[in-house]
Amino acid sequence: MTAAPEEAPGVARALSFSHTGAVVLRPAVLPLAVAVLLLCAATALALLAGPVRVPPGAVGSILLARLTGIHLGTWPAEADQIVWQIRAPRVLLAGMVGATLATTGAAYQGVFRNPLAEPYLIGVAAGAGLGATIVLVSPLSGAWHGLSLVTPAAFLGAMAAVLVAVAVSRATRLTSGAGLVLAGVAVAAMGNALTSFLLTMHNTRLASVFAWLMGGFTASTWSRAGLLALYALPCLFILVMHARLLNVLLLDDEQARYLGVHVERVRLIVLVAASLAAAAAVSVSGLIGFVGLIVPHIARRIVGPDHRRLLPLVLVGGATLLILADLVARTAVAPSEMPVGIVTAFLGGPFFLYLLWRGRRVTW
Amino acid sequence: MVAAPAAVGLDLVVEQVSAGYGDRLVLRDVSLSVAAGEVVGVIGPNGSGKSTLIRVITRLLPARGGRVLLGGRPVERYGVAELARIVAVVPQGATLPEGFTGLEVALLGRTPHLRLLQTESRRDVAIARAALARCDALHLADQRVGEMAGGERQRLLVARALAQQPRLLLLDEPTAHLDLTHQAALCALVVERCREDGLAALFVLHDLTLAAQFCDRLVLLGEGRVRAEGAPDAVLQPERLAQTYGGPVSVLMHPRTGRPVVVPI
Repeated sequence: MTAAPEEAPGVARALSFSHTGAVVLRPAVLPLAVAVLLLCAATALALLAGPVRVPPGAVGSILLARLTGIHLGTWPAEADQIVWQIRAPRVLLAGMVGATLATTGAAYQGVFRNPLAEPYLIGVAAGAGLGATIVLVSPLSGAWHGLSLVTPAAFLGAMAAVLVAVAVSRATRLTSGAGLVLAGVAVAAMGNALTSFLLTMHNTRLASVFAWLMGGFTASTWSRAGLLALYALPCLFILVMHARLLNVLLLDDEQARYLGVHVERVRLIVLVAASLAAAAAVSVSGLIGFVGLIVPHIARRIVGPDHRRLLPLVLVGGATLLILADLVARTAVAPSEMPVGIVTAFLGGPFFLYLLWRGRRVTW
Repeated sequence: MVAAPAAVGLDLVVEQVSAGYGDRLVLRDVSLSVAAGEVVGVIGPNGSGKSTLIRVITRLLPARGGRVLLGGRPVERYGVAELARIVAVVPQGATLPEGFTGLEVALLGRTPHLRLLQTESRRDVAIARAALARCDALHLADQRVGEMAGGERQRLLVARALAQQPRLLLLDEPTAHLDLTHQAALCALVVERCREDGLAALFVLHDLTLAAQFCDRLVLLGEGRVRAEGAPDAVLQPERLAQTYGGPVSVLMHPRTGRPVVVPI
């Protein structure tokens, strides 16, 4: 995993010459290593920060005790509660949601050959939110064999949204990426309106409706993290597995077919996996935008368009970004909290405008 | 480094094929054949069905009638990846992602030879580099597509096709958007590579003069039908061209090659 310092400038390229002249394929080790270090730093920071001060030594000891059973020193029971039951699941959940949203963003961008595709912008998140809300306010909200119906419903909503957005954008024949995003905005508006309506009909507290629409990790628990992992991890694995074929899809359908790729089959697999992962993320954390836009674009600038280098970096980068965004969300206005979606929108809105302003000079 | 692929050309036989889009029939009863080691040119005016022919041969468009045989076996009996290991296409006006390097594009040609979780081996990289070298494009290996000229991108597409190690090469207007000398250079290069490997090649060309210089045989399409077929000087008759293209045409003789030169006046 470590790159010798003198090789560092070359590691961002997939291919380089070793001193023997033999060509070797090499993953982008350095960017990924830096991203992992940043993720560790963000995680540590998020575990340490909060309204109640727990000394770093105690945080470390609590985690060590909980993870390995080795007890070093003593700490108040309250500290254990704060670190292990409140902060740790929250950081884990934020990290997994960030990784999921960023990776699905990159996958949507690849499969639609559209640099603006992103779960939030193409209406997938709104569709998932609507699906989840319908179950939440209905008598179906109980669990079935221990599994909640919320995530499957969110998945159906997400698939419906993406199919409508794709169908409408194809009908508009807008060749730029704008058609899909415009259709997605309309789908999202309808979905969010319905979601708000349902929630206000069934819930007198507008604040909770608002919190859901803006996304957040206030109610993070280990079981929620486990639920997300159950759905998102297999889907993310499938997406990473298809990285090389996503590269082929960056050509056009005709070329991909000439290279022996079942275009429709690959597109369907990627679309279903990405939508299920995004739906699971939405059902645990609400609507969080722009992570899937910001992270893949920055990662692409660093390691280029090859999804085999891109997706791992996006996964780690997405986790880092959302852990930091959540840290800001719960500390910036302490003792109160704001929805993390506000933080990501603050970052993502200008970023989106910048991408639009750059126009078609988006490099893959 | 890599042994030349044991590529032996594959016979292509198109038998009375009809095909079209919606109500429009673009190909009507088209028959032609390409033998192993032969370079056959398909010519004809716009809309005569040249590109459609390639789409039918590669199964992108199903034939409404007739059949396409590859090495004696109907083309529908080949799987998508299996077909791509045998037939490579240099598509018309193909776009490439600008961030890819020349080597990455050539490596895409290895796609039909790789399983889902497989990644390119040293051997695949060597094959891709050899394909680049054979297209005079090795210097483009580390350059990004966005920085390349049209002729360079086109050579990259040919290199990608060669990296597929096909037995039949289909080229759809590979010289479109290239200037005069690059057109001829690209044609010469492709034909040379086909001869070296004994590949069968079907060349869709707009430029009749280029087709006459580089192809063993020509097939003239007009309104979806085969109007003539045979040696270039037999096919390129002024009256027939005038009729097929709907305008006056003169056919001269090239001073050096002795092959026909077609002038649209």
